[in-house]
Amino acid sequence: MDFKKTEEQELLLESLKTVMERGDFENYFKECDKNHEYPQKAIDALVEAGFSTLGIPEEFGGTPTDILTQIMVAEEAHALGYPSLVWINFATEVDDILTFGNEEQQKAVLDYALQGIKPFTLGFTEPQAGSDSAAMATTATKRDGKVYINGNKTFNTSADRAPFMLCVCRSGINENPYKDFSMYLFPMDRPGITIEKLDKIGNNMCGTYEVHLNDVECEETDIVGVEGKGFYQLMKNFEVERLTICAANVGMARCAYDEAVKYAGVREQFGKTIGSFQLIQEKIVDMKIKIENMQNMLYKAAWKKMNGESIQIDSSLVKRYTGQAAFEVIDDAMQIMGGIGYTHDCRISRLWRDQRVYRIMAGTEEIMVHTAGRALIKEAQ
Amino acid sequence: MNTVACYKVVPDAQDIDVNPDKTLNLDKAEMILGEYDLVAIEEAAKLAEATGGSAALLSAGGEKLNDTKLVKAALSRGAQELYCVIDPVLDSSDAFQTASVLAAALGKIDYDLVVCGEGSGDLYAQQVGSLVGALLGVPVVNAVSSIEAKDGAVVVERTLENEVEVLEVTLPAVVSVTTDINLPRIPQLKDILAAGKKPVVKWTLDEVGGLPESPVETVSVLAPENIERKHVVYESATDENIGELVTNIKASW
Amino acid sequence: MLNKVWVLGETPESYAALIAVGRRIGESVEAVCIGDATVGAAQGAGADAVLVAASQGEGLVEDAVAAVIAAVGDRKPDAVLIATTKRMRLVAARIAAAQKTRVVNDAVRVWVEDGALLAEHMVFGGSAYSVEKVNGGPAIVLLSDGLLLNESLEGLSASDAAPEELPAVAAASGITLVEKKPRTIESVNLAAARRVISVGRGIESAEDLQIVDGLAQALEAETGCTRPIAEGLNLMSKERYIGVSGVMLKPDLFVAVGLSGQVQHMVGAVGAKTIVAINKDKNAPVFKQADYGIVGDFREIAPKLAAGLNA
Repeated sequence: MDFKKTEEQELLLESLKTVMERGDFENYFKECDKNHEYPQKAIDALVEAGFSTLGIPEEFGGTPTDILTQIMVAEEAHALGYPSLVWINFATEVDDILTFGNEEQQKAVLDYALQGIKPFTLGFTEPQAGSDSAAMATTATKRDGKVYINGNKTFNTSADRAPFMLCVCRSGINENPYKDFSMYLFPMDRPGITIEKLDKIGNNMCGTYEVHLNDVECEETDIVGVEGKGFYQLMKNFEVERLTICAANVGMARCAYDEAVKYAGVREQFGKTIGSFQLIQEKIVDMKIKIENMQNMLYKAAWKKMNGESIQIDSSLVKRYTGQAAFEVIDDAMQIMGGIGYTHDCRISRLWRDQRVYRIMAGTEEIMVHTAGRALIKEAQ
Repeated sequence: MNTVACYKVVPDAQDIDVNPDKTLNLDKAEMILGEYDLVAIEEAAKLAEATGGSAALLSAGGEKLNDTKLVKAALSRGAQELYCVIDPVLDSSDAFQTASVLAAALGKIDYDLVVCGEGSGDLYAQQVGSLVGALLGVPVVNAVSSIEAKDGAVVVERTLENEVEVLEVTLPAVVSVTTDINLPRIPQLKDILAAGKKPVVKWTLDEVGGLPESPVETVSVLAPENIERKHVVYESATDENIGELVTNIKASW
Repeated sequence: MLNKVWVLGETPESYAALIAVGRRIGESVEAVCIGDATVGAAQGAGADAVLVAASQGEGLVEDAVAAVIAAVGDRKPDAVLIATTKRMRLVAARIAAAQKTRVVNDAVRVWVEDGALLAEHMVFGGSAYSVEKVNGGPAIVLLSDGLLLNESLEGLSASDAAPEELPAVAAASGITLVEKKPRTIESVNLAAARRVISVGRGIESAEDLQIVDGLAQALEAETGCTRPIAEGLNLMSKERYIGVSGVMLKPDLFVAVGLSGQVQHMVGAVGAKTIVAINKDKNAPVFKQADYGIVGDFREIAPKLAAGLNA
């Protein structure tokens, strides 16, 4: 086994560090968080340094990059304080469109991805259909050679900025919902689309919206992949998405850990540093164990994916674990910081608000039990 | 115009520890490219790109020059090839010796302009570039803050304490550049991947004529004695604290 | 003691201190002047001989220096002490290259032991001081501003040494002057200031600088900065950058405002008699290096301090 990063990976991470150092974004992120603004300045710096090209094929102007390296970069960025939900590698989107999209769709989506622009918001969750995806009720109805989309989607990240929506709809061709879903890709400025901002407790730099689709006219060629296969196409999507989400979890946990441990070493109470108290040391040790575990699980899953092995179970395990472990690490970090950790001045408070949603989004940690649990029992038979 | 940028691999100053006897402990220090040399590499690469020439890199040092990561780090910044002179004694050679070796190596390279950084990242003597030029017997200018290519010459701005000289310098020539001449590029993944495939030429000290004697000997390198500070910290800006601080400041002069 | 010490400066003001250092380490001190602008100063400070290159010349120092290089070879001084400027760094290197030796640069201390010159200077970004011993040939030494500023000028008296023209050497430098532009930045001599304020990343705007200016006036202090303020944010000129590749100070009072206390910067101020730090982060390393620290926003503290000092 070789746990060493390649020289190329190390150098790439050094470049990332230089971008973050030159940008000196900490105060900027604080402002953006406070004002609910998208951190465009940081995105511009990363795009200029070529980070948005990672994972996009050469023929589209990108730099082919394995998923493990992409994960390391995303993790490191978050460890350096980069905010969550606004990362500029869209491995999931790129993967989806390359696998199922037509040539035109590929070009449009990848062009945006290259510029660091989230190409589409995923129209999946609906008010009545969260974990129970079969309850999705948005319809795609064919009429006079066109397709009309009707329904309501919710928790759409970046619906205000993403040029497209990749929308999962019932096609009305099969009684079984799982065999009835199709995916359509359409621009967000089509008539009939309205968005409504949700007021959430964290991830202020990334707007999340409800999207109302009222007779949105699409061409039949706007379909992505095969009619009625939308659900299975998406499931493939979720495996990669889960890994990239986990990278953010590990990164945020490291960010909080680094700050808290440094603080424990200098903050004095009762005439000595708080790091000399064993109750604080215990927290630090357990935090570090969790970070190591998260990283190992995540890298191994990415390695399996790269080597063509199934990560159906792994992706659920690592999603459930990193969501919870990162939450615990950040919470402990806040505890070590004491009152300061609860103020907006300390970025751990942002991490504490922002990371919480990772236990909910892209498959709740409970649903991860459901998906991995069944598979593990089956595997043992 | 063909350019050569010189660089030095140095210990990262942030990682340097002090032993109890005040000597320095470099064991934990990561080796990096000198930060001022990154500026030289960028300028050499930019000039070559702008004039349709080729940019090469040159370094003299010990075993650490064989480190493939550092080689990739250097070659991911726009130059096409790397020359290096490797010998353990070059780890402790002084500015004159290093400059002599670089000058001898330059004799084997086709160049129009040699670009050096303002100073090395560790010793920062700000001498090697000027010594190289003098030893080669070619025009040499330091404190160069902009370079423009002309036919057979470069026009440079030299930023001195109270004035800026615009100088025309006949090629071949050697310049040392200031840190504000450019902002070194940040290598992208494609640059890093390409760097691993670029040619590296390694010479032994003998192949460049050996190491000259230096009449200057380093007697000691010791961390300075710490001045004891009072460490009085007022935790808030109350009127009383401000008043005390004012009194203390006034007492200091 | 050395037998014969040569001194060379770019400005007339540098000669008195150069000659004083020369007297301390050498039996005879001879001034080398490039152009005649510095001859009077060399005589005034009592040089035993005054050697002039290009006394009539309007040309470049870089051309005239060929005569000095040749003279060092011919007359073999034991040491050439040079006052550090950017131009003189290059001159020193060219003299040294011709003598097959290095330059001992940025010396903060020079002395003689057993007939050999020793000099101390900073290395590794201020982590250490290195002592160099010149075992043979001429010692080519660039003296730091700090050394020259602190050298006692007592006992210097004018000499009547007549200027002696060094033979011109026709060796083209390959450099021609196109034009000279005055620098638009205001000139500042931080190294000579007795009180200095230095600002770091806590300062975010020109308005913040004005607040600091108020304190500087109350302290009658010069203002310097960390490297990011001069290079990244361009809030101040590079001449005001204190630290490894900037200015080194030895003031009576050093006030650090909104800076964290990184070694690369603080090394420029370690010689200060008293260090005061203002920082809103009470864990900032600068407090560990200060005599007096106060935790809080400088925007609030600096005006209060200024008012207290003015009262």
